[in-house]
Amino acid sequence: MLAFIVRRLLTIIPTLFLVATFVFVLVRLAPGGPFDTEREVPAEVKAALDAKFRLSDPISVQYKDWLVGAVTTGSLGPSMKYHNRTVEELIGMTLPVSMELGLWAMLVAVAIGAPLGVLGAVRQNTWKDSVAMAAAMLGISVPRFVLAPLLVLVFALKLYWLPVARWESWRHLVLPVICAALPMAAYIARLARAGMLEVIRSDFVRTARAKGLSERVIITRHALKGGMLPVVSFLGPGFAGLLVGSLVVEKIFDIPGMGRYLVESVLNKDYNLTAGIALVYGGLLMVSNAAVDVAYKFLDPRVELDR
Amino acid sequence: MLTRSPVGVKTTIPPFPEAPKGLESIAYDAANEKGTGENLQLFTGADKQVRAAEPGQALPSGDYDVVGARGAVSCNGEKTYYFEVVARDGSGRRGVLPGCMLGPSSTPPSALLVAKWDAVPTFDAKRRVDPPEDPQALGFVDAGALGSDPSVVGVRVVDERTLEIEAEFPTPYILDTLSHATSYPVRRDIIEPFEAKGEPDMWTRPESIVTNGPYEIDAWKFRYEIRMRRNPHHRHHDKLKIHNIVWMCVESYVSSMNLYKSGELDYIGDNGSLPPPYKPVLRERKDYKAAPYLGTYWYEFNTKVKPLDDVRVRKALNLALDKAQLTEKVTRGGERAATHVVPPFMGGGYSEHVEALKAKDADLFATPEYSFNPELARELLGQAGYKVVLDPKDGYRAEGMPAIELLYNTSEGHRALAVAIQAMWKNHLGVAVQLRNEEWHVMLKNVRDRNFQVVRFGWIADYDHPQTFMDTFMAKSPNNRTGWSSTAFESLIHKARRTADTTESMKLYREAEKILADEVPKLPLYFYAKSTLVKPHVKGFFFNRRNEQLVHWMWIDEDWKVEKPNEPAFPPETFPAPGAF
Amino acid sequence: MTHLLEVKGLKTHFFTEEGVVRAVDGVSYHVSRGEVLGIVGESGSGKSVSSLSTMRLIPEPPGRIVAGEILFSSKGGPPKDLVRASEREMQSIRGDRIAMIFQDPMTSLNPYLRISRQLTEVLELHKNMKGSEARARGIEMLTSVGIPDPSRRFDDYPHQLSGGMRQRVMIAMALLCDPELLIADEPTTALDVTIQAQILELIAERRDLSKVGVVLITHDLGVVARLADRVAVMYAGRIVEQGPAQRIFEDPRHPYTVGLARSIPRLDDDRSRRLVPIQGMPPSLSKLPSGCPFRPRCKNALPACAESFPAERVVARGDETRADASRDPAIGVGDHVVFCHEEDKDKVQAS
Ligand SMILES: Nc1ncnc2c1ncn2[C@@H]1O[C@H](COP(=O)(O)OP(=O)(O)O)[C@@H](O)[C@H]1O
Ligand SMILES: [Mg+2]
Repeated sequence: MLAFIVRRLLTIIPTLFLVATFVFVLVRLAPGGPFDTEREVPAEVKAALDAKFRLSDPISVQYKDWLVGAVTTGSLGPSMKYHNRTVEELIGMTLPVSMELGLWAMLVAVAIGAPLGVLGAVRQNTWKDSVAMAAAMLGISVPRFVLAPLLVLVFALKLYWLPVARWESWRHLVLPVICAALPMAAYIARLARAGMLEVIRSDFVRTARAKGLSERVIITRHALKGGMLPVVSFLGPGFAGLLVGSLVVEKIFDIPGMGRYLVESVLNKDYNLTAGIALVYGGLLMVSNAAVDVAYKFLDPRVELDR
Repeated sequence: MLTRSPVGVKTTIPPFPEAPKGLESIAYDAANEKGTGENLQLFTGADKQVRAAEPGQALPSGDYDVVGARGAVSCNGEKTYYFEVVARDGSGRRGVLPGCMLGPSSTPPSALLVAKWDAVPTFDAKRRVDPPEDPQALGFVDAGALGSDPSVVGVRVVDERTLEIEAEFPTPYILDTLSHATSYPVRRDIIEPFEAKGEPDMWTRPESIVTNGPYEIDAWKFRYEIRMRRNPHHRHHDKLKIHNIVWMCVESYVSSMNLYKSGELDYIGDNGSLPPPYKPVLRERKDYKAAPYLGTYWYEFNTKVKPLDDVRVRKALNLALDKAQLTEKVTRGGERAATHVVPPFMGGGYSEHVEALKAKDADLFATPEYSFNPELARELLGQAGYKVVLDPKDGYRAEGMPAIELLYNTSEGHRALAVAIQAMWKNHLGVAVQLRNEEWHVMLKNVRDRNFQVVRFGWIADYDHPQTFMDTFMAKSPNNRTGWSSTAFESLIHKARRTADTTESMKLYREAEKILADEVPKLPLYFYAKSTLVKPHVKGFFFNRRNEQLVHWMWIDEDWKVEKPNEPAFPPETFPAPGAF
Repeated sequence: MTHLLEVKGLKTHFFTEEGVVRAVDGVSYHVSRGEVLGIVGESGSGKSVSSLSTMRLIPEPPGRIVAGEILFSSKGGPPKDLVRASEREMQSIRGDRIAMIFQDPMTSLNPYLRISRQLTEVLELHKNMKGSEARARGIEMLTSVGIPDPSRRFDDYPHQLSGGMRQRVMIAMALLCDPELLIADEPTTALDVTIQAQILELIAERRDLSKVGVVLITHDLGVVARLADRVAVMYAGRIVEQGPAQRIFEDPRHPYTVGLARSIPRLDDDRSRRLVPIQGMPPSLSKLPSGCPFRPRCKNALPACAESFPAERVVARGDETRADASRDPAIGVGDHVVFCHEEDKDKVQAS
């Protein structure tokens, strides 16, 4: 098992390396540079900046130095927009915030979505199912940038229960987490329902019924594991979706997370930051996919890890 | 694509409810009361990091690298210039250094300040080289000479508290230029160790930075908030009524308005303007504050390409725009239509000059020749060879006139304006306009490569004098992207800025402006205005045209429902004589 | 005497969007202790639905038992109508008094649970056994169904076993609580021939040892021939012929049974006999033809066949104690009955 996890994580490295290379080169090829301002910069200043950020070197040399720095010292270089901040510092400040938001959101999404989906499947074609699935449909089709202001309007500006924005106490977590989680919860509910329905119709659940087990035991012991597999395999890409979705949530709720740098660093031509962010997002994505593989192994004994 | 405001859709804007009866402000709710007492929560836009409108509190932003004291204070119309200095050697000594010490001073506290560029310890008169006849912007320091030979710079330290700046000619606005962030003094002894360590920017961190304003940094959460507390070394520290400031860096305006509404912000800072869609609603509120702002929004022409190389075409395009419509229907924030380049409320004697002209009904730029005038515009276009004919079905059509491309950086506000202008040019001239929007850095590159026809830009005054605008039209100015130049214009400017007599000088500036209005290298659209929301319990809030609101004048009025005059927290002192402290 | 199980006039319909599927449409049969009743018929004829009805495992909706009685006499007690039993009562009967083995051992075991868990949960539920006691009983049961090295296999997952082994596990699971009735729904269909024989052997052995009554459902006459004491032939939701196994094989009376017998190779065949498939397709259960459902495929159809489903006709009476069949409409233990308008069966066979 451990060997598998280690091996699975090791496979990430070459992929990550490719992603990093790709992004590193691509941002430099795009038009515009990090130090373009509305007035023309004197040649000496430009030269000094290029020297400081090593932009006058050929890309291959820049890349080699960057890679060596990243691997040996974990340094991802200085940000080109925020001159006195290093990329690892910016990521170090914002990543924990985004992770906290993302993990809570995922937890809430599963906690809401999975039971709703199971309920829908168990009470298939009843009003409970219809209500649950209508809610899920709504959750999927209402984008976060509509949901968020609605939540703020009701719970913060009308009822004064929760703060409108910022990142201070647990109370500040509630609305953004809900906002990030709901669309995902809706999706999970549909997946869980479909998965559960398939399992409930399966032969082995019929066998379980024929044993005289109660409905509750059948659902919890026999159907749940298999029914949740689609949900589990969704959590990998789903987490990535959450991180990207956090861009909107973080902005609306003014949360100092990493989402802001995702697009901004590219627009700013902050080469180092873009590469660093790509590395982190890519790494997170791959790790979460690996985690899904491992979770699969735990859930489904038929999965052979050592293939 | 992401625009600046992620929630820029109408439906998602939380409505600002009507004010409850008996309350002055909608945003102030007794049940949700915050911000009273000694804490003032302020907001500042995040994209500029922080711009504390406080002497000495400006932090390095993406634009500037220098930190220090500043001295342009416009409060109650009174203006003073000074640098403030604080001894950080524990002696508690503090003092005031006039921004531009042209005279001798009394004995100084030792080694307190000094500008980063006082790399010139002594001034060697013998080595002095006369600066070239065409200094670019400021007229007293040749920036280009800084790196190569410091001794040619006309700036020297006379003694430890005196900085001498030698000007080539009498420069009336020299004091103003010193209020710009680039002339803030900074501490060499703080900076140089960092430079030696190879981390030249790290001295700006809260634990290292030394500032000399009334407030000092308490904590800095990057792009989240900056907390400030009173600076115990400041000479007014015991008079300050606001003890702590929280500058929140809020990314989206919707959030900042919500924070304001829920009572977490007392004031939606001085950075940027309120978003146009909100303005019609907000304008009606008592806590809405707006004031003219020293900036001009304009379109720049590439005068090297056809058909824009023809001055008649440029002029026609200018006259075909009903700019009053643009400010009333599109920007909606109290901006004023611009028929010329320098905002009429500009200092340095300009506004007085314009007022005098207006009183005599002699404001050239108010005449039909320079205002919205579609007939004249069509005539001019016809003279340029593009006859404007009236098609009963399609309206006007400029025969033979190629379509014009209008470039702007991606933003909702710029787009709305461009669309309106596109319609006006089509309706009044029959000129087809294609819109092209590009992300900021891409646009800059294309503009630098002269790969544009008409491009959206603007200018915000660096100092309170017409010269700051005129500089951008000089042939060698990096801010002149039009390819246009005029020796007549430049000699007028050279003359104007050497003229000590204000009225005379302003007359020359207006003459130079007439050349710009006749040749239209840039098409001025409107003069900026700034707007913000301030809770009614915040007193001592004063707007000025440079949009600098000084916290040290502010105070919290616990009994704010009782109307009282808006006074500063303590009486503003007149500028102390050098050494008089 | 009361039968272990007596099904009377059972009708189970599915109410689907396409219409009412009359999957079981008036079926009567019975099983006694230690007896194997074979139910044969083409696939889709309603065999599984009728057995699932007995277990009350029809998915509802869309299915519903619309008529009939399922009388189950547990431990010689008075018959209980399972159609009217509560879900709670059914849960106590399922897996304990009546057990079921399903067709596909590959999918009928839960792939996510260890075999041990799947066995012990039955004991926990019905026999109140716990921990090591349940384990011991489970391993014992695996041993008795012929699983080699049972204590090691016990904690395997199903996918680690072969198909035959899995069906043995299924049988072990079904027999754990010593059920009185075992319903085996095509228990060998998914297995290869040698394994089939072993599994059937196993069922026969259990019948003999514990006198369990068995309903053996199959579409394979060969399987019935090996094991069944009596046979019921189902066609389109109805039983068309029923009787002692030997009689059904030697003297089939219904044209469908005849056709079925001809279409299947027999071990005792001489090579010359040709296999003759039954012409045509089974009817759609939601659009049954009027009268006898086999009529469209029947070579000997009479005008009467279109009018009504034929009443039962006793071909041979097996049980002398039941002198007068008309007084007891249920079919006697040894009776050979056929539901066909065609009177002269011998002609049919001769042709
Ligand atoms: N859940 C269901 N919904 C609708 N029709 C069903 C359902 N289950 C079984 N049927 C129908 O009942 C008929 C009999 O099926 P079944 O008893 O499984 O046949 P078999 O004799 O092969 O076991 C089939 O035609 C099938 O279409
Ligand atoms: Mg079947």
